Amino acid sequence: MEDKEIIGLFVNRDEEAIFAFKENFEAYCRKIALNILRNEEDAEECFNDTCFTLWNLIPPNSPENLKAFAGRITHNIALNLFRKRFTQKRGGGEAEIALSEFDECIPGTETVEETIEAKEITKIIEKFLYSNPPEKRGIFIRRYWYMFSVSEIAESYGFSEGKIKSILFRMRKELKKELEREGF
Amino acid sequence: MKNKKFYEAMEGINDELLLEAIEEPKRKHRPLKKIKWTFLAAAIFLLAAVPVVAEVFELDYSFNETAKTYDYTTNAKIKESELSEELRNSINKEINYFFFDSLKEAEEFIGISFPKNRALVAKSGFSTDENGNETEFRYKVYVIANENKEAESVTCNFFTWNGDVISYIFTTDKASFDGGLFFYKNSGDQRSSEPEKYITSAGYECFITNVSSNGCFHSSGILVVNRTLVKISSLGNTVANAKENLIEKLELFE
Repeated sequence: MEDKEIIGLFVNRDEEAIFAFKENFEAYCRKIALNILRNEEDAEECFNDTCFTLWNLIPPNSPENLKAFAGRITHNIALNLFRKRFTQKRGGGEAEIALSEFDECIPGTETVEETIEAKEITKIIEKFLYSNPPEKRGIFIRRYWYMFSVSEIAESYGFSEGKIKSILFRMRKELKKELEREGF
Repeated sequence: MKNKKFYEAMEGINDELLLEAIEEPKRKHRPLKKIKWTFLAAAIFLLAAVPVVAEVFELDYSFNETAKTYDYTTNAKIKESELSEELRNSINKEINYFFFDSLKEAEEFIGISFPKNRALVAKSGFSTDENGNETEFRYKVYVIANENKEAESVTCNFFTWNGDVISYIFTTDKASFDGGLFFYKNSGDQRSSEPEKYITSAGYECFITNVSSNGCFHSSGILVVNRTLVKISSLGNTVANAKENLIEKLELFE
């Protein structure tokens, strides 16, 4: 079923929307959640929350790309859940490891103003990513957005883990330079 | 949680990038080297004409047996192909290695500059358990450079705290070097994060690293001579003592 048809079902408050959404995007959303939470049950819970959130958001929203929209929701829910767990008990997940790799790039943020700056940083990151070949930016996003482990990325691309780590290391370093150049 | 700003920024990247990244990547396949018959014939001729001196693999690289001692004066040369498949597979599961396209990249990665034609890279890392305790020595990386400061080969030593010692070596036809084994029995408290530079009386430049282990201290020095990496290690009761021993050996080597 096409995105527009599924969105139409959501708009019409037809419960079939959930089934259609599950059929098309459950694997994708659950993988995003699983990468962050590393726990099947939590990933399932996260996916159910995604369905519920979608039901509440559409309408009034009508996303152009349902996959990206749902992925983003799942990502946020999973990260929130991760943070909640993280504060309860330190340790674990791929998310923590992936995100800690950026400690060297940007100082931590506490204030609202700094949070707003994150949007400017997004633009810099996007510009930086577009300046890299698709393969490299794919590796970067898989690691730092989708939270894939290095070994999973290496497997996907047919590279050694060492090579993936080298690519990520160099990209982080280049991004750091870029951010410093922009005053961050 | 650290770097909240970066997470927020990453969360905001556009849909196009997100969807592109999740597309099935084209896997890289390394093309098989074409073997020309002329080269093959030449190789057969050479094999027939020159007595083959097999390099004896004397060290115990078994994963299940604990290495008790290692004679650092042994200059065993091993190649990846000489390792058993089982061991290679085991290593590949855990090894943490880096390839460099040039020495410059290696220098940037390690954060130190190497002397021309006598270069080494040493980088060590530790993994930690849930409580933040160091549990395992992860890797060391060495790079040999040629006169143009291009990395010719990379070797990685990998060893774990439970006594298993593994060495994983990458070679090119331009360089050869020893097995490069270290043995550390336990996590130490004293280690230098930066290799210390030492210039021998003959002008060779080398770096010295220290790692402690159960009250004993290991030092290792590395030289590249005639494009051959030679590593000499020593053991002492103190860091200073171990270093002195090492320097003595380095001078003797010349």
